Amino acid sequence: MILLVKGYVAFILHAHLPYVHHPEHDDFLEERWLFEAISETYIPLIDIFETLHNEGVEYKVTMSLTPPLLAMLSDETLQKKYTRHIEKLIELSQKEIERTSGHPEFNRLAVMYKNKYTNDLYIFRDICRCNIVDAFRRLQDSGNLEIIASAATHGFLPLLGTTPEIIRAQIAVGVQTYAKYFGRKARGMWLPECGYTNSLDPILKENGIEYIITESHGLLYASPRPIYGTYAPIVTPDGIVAFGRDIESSKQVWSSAEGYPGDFDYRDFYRDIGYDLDFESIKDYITPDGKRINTGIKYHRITGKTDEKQPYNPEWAKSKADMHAGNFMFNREKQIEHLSGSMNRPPIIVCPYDAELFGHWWFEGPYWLYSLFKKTCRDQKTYALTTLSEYIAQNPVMQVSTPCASTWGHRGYNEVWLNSANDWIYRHLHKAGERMVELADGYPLADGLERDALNQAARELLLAQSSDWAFIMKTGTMVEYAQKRTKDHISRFTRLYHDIRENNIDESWLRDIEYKDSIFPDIDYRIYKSR
Amino acid sequence: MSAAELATANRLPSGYDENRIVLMPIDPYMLYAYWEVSAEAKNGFIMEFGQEIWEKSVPVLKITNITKASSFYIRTNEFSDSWYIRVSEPNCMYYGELGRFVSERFFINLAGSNPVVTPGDGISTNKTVYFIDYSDVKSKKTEKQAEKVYESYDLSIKTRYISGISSAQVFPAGLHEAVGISSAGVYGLNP
Repeated sequence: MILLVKGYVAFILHAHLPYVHHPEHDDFLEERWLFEAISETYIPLIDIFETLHNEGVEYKVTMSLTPPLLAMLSDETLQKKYTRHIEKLIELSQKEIERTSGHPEFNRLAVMYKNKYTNDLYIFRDICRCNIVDAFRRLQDSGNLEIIASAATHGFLPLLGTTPEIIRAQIAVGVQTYAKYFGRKARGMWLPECGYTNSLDPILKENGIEYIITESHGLLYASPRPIYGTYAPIVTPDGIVAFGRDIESSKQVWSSAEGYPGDFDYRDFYRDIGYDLDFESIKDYITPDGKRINTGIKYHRITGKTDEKQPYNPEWAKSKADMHAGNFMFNREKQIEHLSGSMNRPPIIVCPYDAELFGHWWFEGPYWLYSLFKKTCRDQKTYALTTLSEYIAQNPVMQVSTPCASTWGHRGYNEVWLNSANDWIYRHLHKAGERMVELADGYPLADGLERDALNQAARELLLAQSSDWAFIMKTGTMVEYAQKRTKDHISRFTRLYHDIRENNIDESWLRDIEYKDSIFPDIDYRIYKSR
Repeated sequence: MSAAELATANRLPSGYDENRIVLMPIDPYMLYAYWEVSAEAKNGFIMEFGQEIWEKSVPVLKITNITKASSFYIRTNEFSDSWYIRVSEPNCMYYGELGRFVSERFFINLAGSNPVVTPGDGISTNKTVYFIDYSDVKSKKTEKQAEKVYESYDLSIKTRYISGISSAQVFPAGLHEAVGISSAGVYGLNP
């Protein structure tokens, strides 16, 4: 059946959050990033994938789940904190049902939220036994979902280091983490921020990676010129297959002006009872020091460019999501019909998105995906959904070309991660990277406390390298936290470096930072050894 | 831990007392450089040329476009340790030097950077079209019979790294023979 279609559409959902793990605090604001993403994105995605599977819909989708996200989702302390978080939301939504009893248009929404959070808790605790990574693994094993790897801490690879060892460790630890969680070798890799330079190719190759995704101009500006643009993958001289993001379909979903998520019937992200309610009613559900935050309970639709927001209507929003799914499908059919006439192979439309767009930012996003996948499989025959590895297997003859250095950041290159707001980090990141290589070369056979210190040094370096810190510094929100995290990890690394060199390791301090920064329990610092 | 680093525990040191300049690409037309002059390098300069020359000389960055064999200077100042550098050419390899102008024509080098390549900013003019059967490459790799294939590739990569990126060099004539690549003509395509 697949051979009869004229082309393919590949959805790639990139799920990532920086490693935020503060077991020393009962309540830590930035840990809510994970809790919100679990409730608003990851559980809804699992829900729609399972529903599609149960309905016999042969959908195909690719996801990347980054190592920091996998580590946090598997962490017992964070699992307990999430459970407490969701129990508080059930409690809040019950209070909201009572508070809004005289306002039916809001009351039914309060009931909707209580049902949603109760269902989230049921799925998380009773179905997934608090570990939703297992749910994603089962979905992958069922054949409709393909999960790809990413770099260890989502380091921005084009600027990370001055020597290949520094980059190699990010990629190798990412691949090792993937194998640990999913019980198989990673075939694809999501390059953090789609940051590509051709110096990555040999490192990707030696780590068994077969394919990557680049921003559109990564392929459009590739050399030699790819004759099919982004509509067919290319293969680099090192044997890495590169897919390019499709511009047209990206714009339909991403664009704040023209994109679907900005439709007036969809739920407004910014109006939240965390800010709307009087302090007495909300004080137990915001930060302990009384700082107002988003709770997740939002009663209004986007309405328009106005502050006078109208109540959210779930039926209208659902109907609009169905309409938008139909529109997206129609556009892909037309796009593929047009392309297939001038190509000697089925075109592929590559649609990568941040997973957290679906559900967290765009409340109706997961339902839109469900509707789109179902319509695609049942209502048309022009194209089929595919995964990238499936497309490679069916279309192995590819043009040889090298993608252009590129990212999916503003203006397509490195400026989001290197500008006056964050340029100061690089001299420290580079120096720490070089020192880590020096340690790995100088202590090839460490054991005991020394080995523990060396492994922790590797963890601290990797955590400092997360692209999120530079990104947050650029965007201007939560900047202090990002700066602190960069400084903390570099400072911890630097102290470890000197303690190791001076044979003066402070064990109690080491155990304390191992407890706080406990990502990659199986790391072997020798991954940094020069070759 | 050095005294300077101890004093800034939980803060980052202002430097690492090393002599270096690092160049980083931002986009096709912009580079970023950060640097540090070690006490040893400064003292060496003073020992050789004298304190007065140090004080009268001007800190300078020399930026060389290796691909186009051209260079230019940027006068910085004693207080700067980084600079945003506008360049004119995408797809070119650049090299930076940190040094001092003793006179208008006499540049003394203190440190040299890593080479960097500016990204491309348009559709490639290289219209060469080669195809490869990826499953063939993959199976050869699996059977550890791919050495010959990758030797050929390595030659191209070496060329790329040493002399700057040039698409023509990346795809030397005859590559298709080495790896079984078919030309576009086989597929009835117009490159």
